[in-house]
Amino acid sequence: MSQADFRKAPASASESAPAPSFAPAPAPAPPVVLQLSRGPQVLYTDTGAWLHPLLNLTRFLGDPLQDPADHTLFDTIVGRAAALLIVRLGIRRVHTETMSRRGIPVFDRWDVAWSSDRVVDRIDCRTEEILADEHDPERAFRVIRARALAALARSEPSHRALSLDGVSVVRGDSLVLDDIDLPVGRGEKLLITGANGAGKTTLLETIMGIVPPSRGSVTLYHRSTGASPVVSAAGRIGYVNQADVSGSLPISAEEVVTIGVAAARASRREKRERVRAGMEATGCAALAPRMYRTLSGGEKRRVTIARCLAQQAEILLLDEPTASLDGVAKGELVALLEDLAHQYEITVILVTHEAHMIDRSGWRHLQLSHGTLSAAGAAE
Amino acid sequence: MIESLGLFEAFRVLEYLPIRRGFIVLMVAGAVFPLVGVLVLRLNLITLRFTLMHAALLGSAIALAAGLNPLVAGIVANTVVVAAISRARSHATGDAGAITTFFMVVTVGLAFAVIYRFRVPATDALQILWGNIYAMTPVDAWLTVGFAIVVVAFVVMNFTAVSAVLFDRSVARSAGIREGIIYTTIILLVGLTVSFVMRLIGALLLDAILILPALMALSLAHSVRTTFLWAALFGMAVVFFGFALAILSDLPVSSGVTIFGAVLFLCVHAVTRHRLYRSTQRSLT
Repeated sequence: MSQADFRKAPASASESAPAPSFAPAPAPAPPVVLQLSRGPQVLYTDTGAWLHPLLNLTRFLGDPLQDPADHTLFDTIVGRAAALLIVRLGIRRVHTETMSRRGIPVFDRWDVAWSSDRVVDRIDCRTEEILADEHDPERAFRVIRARALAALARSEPSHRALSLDGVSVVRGDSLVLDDIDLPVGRGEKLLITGANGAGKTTLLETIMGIVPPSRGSVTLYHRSTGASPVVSAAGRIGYVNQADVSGSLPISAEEVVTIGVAAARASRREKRERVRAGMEATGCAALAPRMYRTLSGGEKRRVTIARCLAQQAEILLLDEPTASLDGVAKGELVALLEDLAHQYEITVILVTHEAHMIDRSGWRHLQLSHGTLSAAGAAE
Repeated sequence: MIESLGLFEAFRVLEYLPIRRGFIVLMVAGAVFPLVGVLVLRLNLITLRFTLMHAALLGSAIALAAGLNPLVAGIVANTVVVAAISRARSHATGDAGAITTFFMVVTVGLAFAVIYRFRVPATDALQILWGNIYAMTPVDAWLTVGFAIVVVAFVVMNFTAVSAVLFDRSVARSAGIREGIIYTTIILLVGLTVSFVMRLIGALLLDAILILPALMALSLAHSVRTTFLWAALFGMAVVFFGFALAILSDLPVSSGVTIFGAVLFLCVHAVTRHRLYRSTQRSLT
């Protein structure tokens, strides 16, 4: 997967002829591949590649259009992925130079009026294959966004939240992690699966700086964790660990969340506000006075994630978060994570041996086996 | 009524200055050192606590052999042991538990070797294990109170960080808390409490004040804040009524406090068991 596997062709004059009002920008400027108009007024243009123009337009608009009838979109190539994104934006009039047959049912289903210079059977793009049977625009958006973030992280170091470069970890006589290269984009959701003992927890501990790499380097937001990895990583990473850590300590749910702001340079009032906001965002405000050890597994996870939100963590590391939860609680937890990742643009790295519990659309899925990472699952 | 009169009579001994001074220090110790007890129990530092006792004994023995101040030598010995353990645990290869146990055995062995080899009177060396609150000088009393203030200030000023370390050290670390510094400070506080306060009020009394109130607080409280508050309240109650028991029964204060502390612990244990039973019954119905 890469941006290059679906590069939009520059629009030629002849190809754009049928729609004068959608005419691309004149040379020598980069050709406009996407343009949103309201009547004669051009609201937005983009010259990017792959599905990035549509993703950029999504950011530009913020919310779906409230008055779709007035708007018209020009896009050089529309496949199923683009069609789903366009529908999600609320756009109902589209002109394109090249239309994939896979996108037509999407437009038909959502009553999108479209015209095209030519229709092709398919577009050679991995994303199109992944979304071949997808009908839900929201789910499609999540998949596309995840792929875009992963691609950006690979090609643009500035878009990386985290990068492991040639990381190996030796514990005792065994090589637990072997030459791991892992760029993770900002806001990306990464699912790492592997059998028990595969090194998943060691990988997270290495990212946090608790376990120093025997070889290679870990970089967080362009800063190598260097000689003081723990200090460098501190505060940016929210850690949801595997074990039921409370033991016999009588600690209230609110006190657990307050741990998240312990190191924050903020006023008392602001800290209290962050704690309150974190608990409300995860739906556990009512649990504040309850003793942590008496909470159910699902409630504990919510409190723990609230702690990470109060901490304003940019990266969330979750070690087997669904362990010891029942089916309903597992589903609720995954839904909560996806909502938070979307809402706060938090980078989420989740390791588990229960990959089947997670709807992998929107997640980049890697497998850790014998100390090495490899692509796995449908999302790849 | 008669019992009240007895209690009143018991406290008439406070007319004597050394006893009054000792009682005040005892109340301060009862209010503050259970906080250290909470840290000892939650961080599983019981082995460390014995190690530090043995190290203090070694320091005392060396000091007596060399004609130095046993209290200072005990503190130095404990500081060295704390530094060694902290250094070991900061290296991934170090097993802090094993190293603590190693020091626990080695220090007491060396202490008795020094006592035997340099013909140090064992009773003098062991003095460090049983202080006498009535024999406190004003300086001793002020030092104890000063150290108690340091303990309270540390817990209050670093309350959330201390809570985080008690909760889970890896979580504390990920939250940006310098848990290594907090943990080492806690070990240092435990070390100083053992070596310094033990010399003043005695090992037995220290244990009764340090551990029993903390145990009771941990079984009753619902938050870290209330754990510390309960520990302080139980500590003061144990000291107050234990002192009265000692006077009324003509027992050493350490025995009176320990016996009363043990009885109170059993009562609290019964209450928590009963509460748990009722809670279970409610859940079943």
